[in-house]
Amino acid sequence: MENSKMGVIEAVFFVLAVITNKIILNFPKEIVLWSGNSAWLNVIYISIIVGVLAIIVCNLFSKFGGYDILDISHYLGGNFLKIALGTILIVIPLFNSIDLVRDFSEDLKLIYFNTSPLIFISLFFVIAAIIANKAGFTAIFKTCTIIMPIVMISIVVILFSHLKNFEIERLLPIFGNGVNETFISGLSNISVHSGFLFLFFLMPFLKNTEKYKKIGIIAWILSSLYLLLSVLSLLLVFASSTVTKEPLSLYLIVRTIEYGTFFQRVDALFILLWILSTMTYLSVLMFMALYIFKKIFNTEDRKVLASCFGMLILALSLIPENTVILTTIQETFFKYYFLITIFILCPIILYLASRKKKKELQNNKPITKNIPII
Amino acid sequence: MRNTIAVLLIITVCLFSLTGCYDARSIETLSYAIAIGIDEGETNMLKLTVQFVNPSSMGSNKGGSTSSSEPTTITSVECASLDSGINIMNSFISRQINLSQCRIIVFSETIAEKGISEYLYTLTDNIEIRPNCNIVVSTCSAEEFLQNSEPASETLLGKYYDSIVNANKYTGSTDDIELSDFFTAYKDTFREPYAVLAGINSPDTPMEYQDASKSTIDSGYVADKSSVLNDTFMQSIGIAVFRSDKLVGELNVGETISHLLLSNRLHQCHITVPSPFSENGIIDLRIIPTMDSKKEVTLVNNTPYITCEVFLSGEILSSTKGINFTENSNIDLVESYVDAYMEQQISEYLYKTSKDFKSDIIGFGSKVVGNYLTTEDWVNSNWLDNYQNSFFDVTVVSDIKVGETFSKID
Amino acid sequence: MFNLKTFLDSNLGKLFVYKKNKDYEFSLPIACDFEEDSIVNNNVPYELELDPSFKKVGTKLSDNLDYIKAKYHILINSDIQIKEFNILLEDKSYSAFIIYIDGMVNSEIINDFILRPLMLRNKTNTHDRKKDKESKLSSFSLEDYIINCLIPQNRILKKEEFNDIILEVNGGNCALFIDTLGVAFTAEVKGFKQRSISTPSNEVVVRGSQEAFVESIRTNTSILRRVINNEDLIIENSYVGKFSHTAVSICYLKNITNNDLVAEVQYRINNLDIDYLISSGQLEQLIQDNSHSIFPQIVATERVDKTASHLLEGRVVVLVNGTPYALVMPGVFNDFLSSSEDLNLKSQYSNLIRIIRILSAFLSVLLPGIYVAVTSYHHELIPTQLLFAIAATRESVPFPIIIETLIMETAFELIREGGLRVPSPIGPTIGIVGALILGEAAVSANIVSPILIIIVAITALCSFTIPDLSLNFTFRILRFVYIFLGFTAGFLGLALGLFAQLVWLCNLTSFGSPYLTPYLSKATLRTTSSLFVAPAWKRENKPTFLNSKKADSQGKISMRWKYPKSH
Repeated sequence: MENSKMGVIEAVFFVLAVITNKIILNFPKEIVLWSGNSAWLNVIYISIIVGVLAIIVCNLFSKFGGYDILDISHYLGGNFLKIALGTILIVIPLFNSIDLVRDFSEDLKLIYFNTSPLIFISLFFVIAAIIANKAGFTAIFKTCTIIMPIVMISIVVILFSHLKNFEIERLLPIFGNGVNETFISGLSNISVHSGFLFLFFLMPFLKNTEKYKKIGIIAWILSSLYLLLSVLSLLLVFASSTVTKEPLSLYLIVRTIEYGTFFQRVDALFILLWILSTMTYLSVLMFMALYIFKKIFNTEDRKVLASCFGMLILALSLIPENTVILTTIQETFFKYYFLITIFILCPIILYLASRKKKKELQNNKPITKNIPII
Repeated sequence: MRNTIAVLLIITVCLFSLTGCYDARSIETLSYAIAIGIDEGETNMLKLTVQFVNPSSMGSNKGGSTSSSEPTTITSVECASLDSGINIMNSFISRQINLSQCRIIVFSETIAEKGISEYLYTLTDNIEIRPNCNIVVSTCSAEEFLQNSEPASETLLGKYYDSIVNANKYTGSTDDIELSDFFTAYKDTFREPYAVLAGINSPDTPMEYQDASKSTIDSGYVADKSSVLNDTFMQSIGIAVFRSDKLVGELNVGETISHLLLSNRLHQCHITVPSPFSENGIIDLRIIPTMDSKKEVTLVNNTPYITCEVFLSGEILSSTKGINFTENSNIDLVESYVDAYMEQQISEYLYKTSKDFKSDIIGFGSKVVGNYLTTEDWVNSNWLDNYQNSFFDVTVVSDIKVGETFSKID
Repeated sequence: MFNLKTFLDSNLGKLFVYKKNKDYEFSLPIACDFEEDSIVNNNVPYELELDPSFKKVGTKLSDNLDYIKAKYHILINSDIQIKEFNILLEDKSYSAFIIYIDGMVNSEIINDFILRPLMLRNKTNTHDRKKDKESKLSSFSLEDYIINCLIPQNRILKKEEFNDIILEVNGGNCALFIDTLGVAFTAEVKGFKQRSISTPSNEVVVRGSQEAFVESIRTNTSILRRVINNEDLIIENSYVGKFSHTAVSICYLKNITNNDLVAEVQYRINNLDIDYLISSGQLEQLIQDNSHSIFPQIVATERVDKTASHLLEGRVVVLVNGTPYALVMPGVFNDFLSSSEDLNLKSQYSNLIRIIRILSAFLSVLLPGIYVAVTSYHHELIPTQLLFAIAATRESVPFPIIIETLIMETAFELIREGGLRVPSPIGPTIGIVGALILGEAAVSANIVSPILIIIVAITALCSFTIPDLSLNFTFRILRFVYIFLGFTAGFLGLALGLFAQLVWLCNLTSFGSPYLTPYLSKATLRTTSSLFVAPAWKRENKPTFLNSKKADSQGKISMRWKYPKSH
């Protein structure tokens, strides 16, 4: 069964699937909207904070080789804590996938499918995710490993295509919309790193659990780098007030790319890549939701549930009347929900569990056999 | 297996019945606009002119007989807005209008003077219109402009529109301004937008130089008043300067070259300078910028003091008789002469933009922006209004070379 | 008295009533009826009775003879030959018979080396019993004597089970039964006509051996042995099919190939419940990992050099009697895109071909789909001039793009299949007629646009560059899927197709090796099965996915003459 476990590269791309899609979808737009010309400073700032957290979490986790956060919460607080935490955490991939399906479908509708009903476009994504989840975890992370590098290269290509239009002065004034927006209220932008959640669940899927720390750090460096690059490319080319009106953040840049006088509108090709990457991301999210669901309810077969979850996501994504509602929920509630659960709650549980383990070791007690074997 | 087939069947049936292929638009069912003209309307808000391509005229000439149909069709409607205009056209053109191949958007001078921001937003918001189509301000009405733009050497109109703007790569007569450039400049807080200036030239229109004192120098031409003596044709020479979204003035070829030099957008161009050696003689030069120009802005009592340094290399293309260019002193003389000439040209251009037009189209503001900490402070400093108080100091460093071919002929 | 009434009654009916001739009808009785019939058939005299309990050779010759006759339906089977004769041994005479199948044996061998020594009494044959006594042999064994002294044959076996004997006879050997002996002897006398080794017809290369496999399994194993030339090459035999007992050889290198891989192949082949096996194509379908996948998972090749190099990498090769194709397993995606010539050419040349092949693989699957998607949804992607050119040619075509594309693709598939099925002299003509004349006529009749002809032609060319036949079929099927997807939702549809296909490929395995192996794993480039071909001196490692017992295939420095000191 060696093939069903992830190596370092696979794991890194698995985590990066999140950030790449956030970049494609709406994150750079939101962050530029939030802190104006100083968005780049904000990105560096939150990346450093996340990096520190990542190192702490990785260190704590390395004591629990082979177990994910739910197992650890079970060790700390028994079944109750495990189910409570699972319920809290399952909301994250579910909401993310609903947001993703709705948002991207709306964008596609705006760009290419003006007269098609929304359900028709959404259906494609959901079918893709169901197929991937039926195929299983191995297929998902391998698909990630193939598609993500291509998408990431495409982002770099986009940046380099605009090299001649870069104006460094656009990064100024240095504090943009103000110090507060950049550093204090801008802290909530940390939720963009919600791919961090995957780090808590990665352990059982690794070939070599000792590489966990390496994976965490590489993923953090790459995602921060890409975040910075994408925000920079937006800021360096356009006035910050122009950025906010396009459906997809990077679409604005892609539309203006031209290679010579012959290839002038290659945006459709990039859209094709992004659709692929979105499908991958949705499969990853759905896998996460199914995995947590399986852990909470101790169900055996994930594959049967895939269609149910797919349809659930499709139905839920169609409920809001327009995306503005979804964005508002995201901005006012889930942004902070992610922040609290991923970056505060989970590390605290980890910390408490590691203290408990330390105490048990000091008292020479045998370690509680609460951890279920996976 | 039977299950799989059933599922596949259901999916296929669903896909086809669901869509009816809603958005599939076959190529030949669309009518492609290649140029859009916006004029002030007589009875309504505006007059929209759209130039369509007849694909059959440019396809393969079957059986050797060249089709007699015109390559393009031009249609005008009076309408309240761009979108409603397109809608009206759709009702009487048999095919659906598609703007994705549109190459230029022409605004007439009169409508540009009144402000074009409303149309700008509509155009940039439209997914079909490519952001790299050129923004042109025509000296005549846009309708007339489109009607008279007939390619002389190009058979494909789209290519023709491309090439007239691309000609600036070797003439420096105008700048390649695209919709996205224009819009970004319009939204920017430290620069003002400008567009391509074009007009219809005909033998009837009188030759006219803006500055009578330099009547021997060809750089004084503006669009529609140049010295071409052929048929009616369209010409893009010069730049239309905007302040915010309103047209405030026009630059002639010489000034355009100065502008391109300062904004580092010049590839190469030819200039003609009066000869230092004889009274009525001239020297033709090809100039190529060697380095990016250096621009510095200092605020003295909130008055901008702007220093510019421009680096050129020039090549003498022809010369008047009897001048020996093998001698270094002669070249030095030409060099200093060119420096002085260009310095004067550029300063004149700069003062024209600041004092006459009050429009910072080069974007000197970007040099000041670092002095402020937040966007709020910067916007409050009101650079764009402050620009008119600027003082300029221009230095040109040129390096003149002589083509080998005639240097040895005495 | 002439009775009019009776006359009319009897003849009028014949005169004026039309009676239809009864058509000859034949229908096969269904299975349960058949059983009843077969009971009846058993009474037919030419069916001999078979004693089912009789499994081993008996000591009474007549019993054996009767059994064999019944088993081979000797009364109705024309080519089974049974020759009864007597063996003269010293003073005794034993009755005996041999059985063989006419046409499968070399009669000269039978005459000269079996019948002659047995039937003729001569000096060399006479058995000196006194000598035996002198050498204190306890008893005289006729069996040993026949094997050791009488029949000058290299391969003569003693058999007791009738099943074994029948297998041997079916394979073209002859069996010798002698009275009073509880065993029979089988001797190798094969002499049937078979195709000689010829050049590969379907996998043509320029630089490389021109030997191809033939139908006979022994010939094939012998060619393999000749190429590999190592005693570690194991060729295990197995029989598949309850009815046909088709010989299947499992070949591998004992000191290289992973044991589990060999065991898995053996396990799958030995656990097949089928009546008959005609070709390796059937075996391939029976033992592949994922039965529903449209991607081939086992390499089938007629080339000896390709098979040999796969063997040397540590793969398992299965030969099936009667098929000139060897099956190589595991087969991963990359194998189907590579040709045996790749390793023979300089790496620069073969990498160029590789790149072209990968490109053409993409195009042959996606090009028509992309064309449909772009012309229906994404017009702005097409450069202006090209767009107008396409629009101009489409002006007079009445069909929507999807119909037009389907017409052309179907026509192309027709030409292809037609050209393949007709007798070979007309084959090329069909291709020319189809491609040139049909295309030209379709364009001038305004049924399709010239651009589409170009698209279809490029697609066809691309699909011809795929070296593997099975993968070619895969791509042909997928092409139609992508056309539909592209029409349904443009790039969104294509993306769904690509994604599903990718997931599918990622999930596939071939005998435990992930199907996309060289693309996904950290596999080193320095193997013979990497994505790009390494130069001949850099192929140090075996492909990692095979987990061979021997990890390297050449020294770190293979060119010792160049760097003599560094080892």
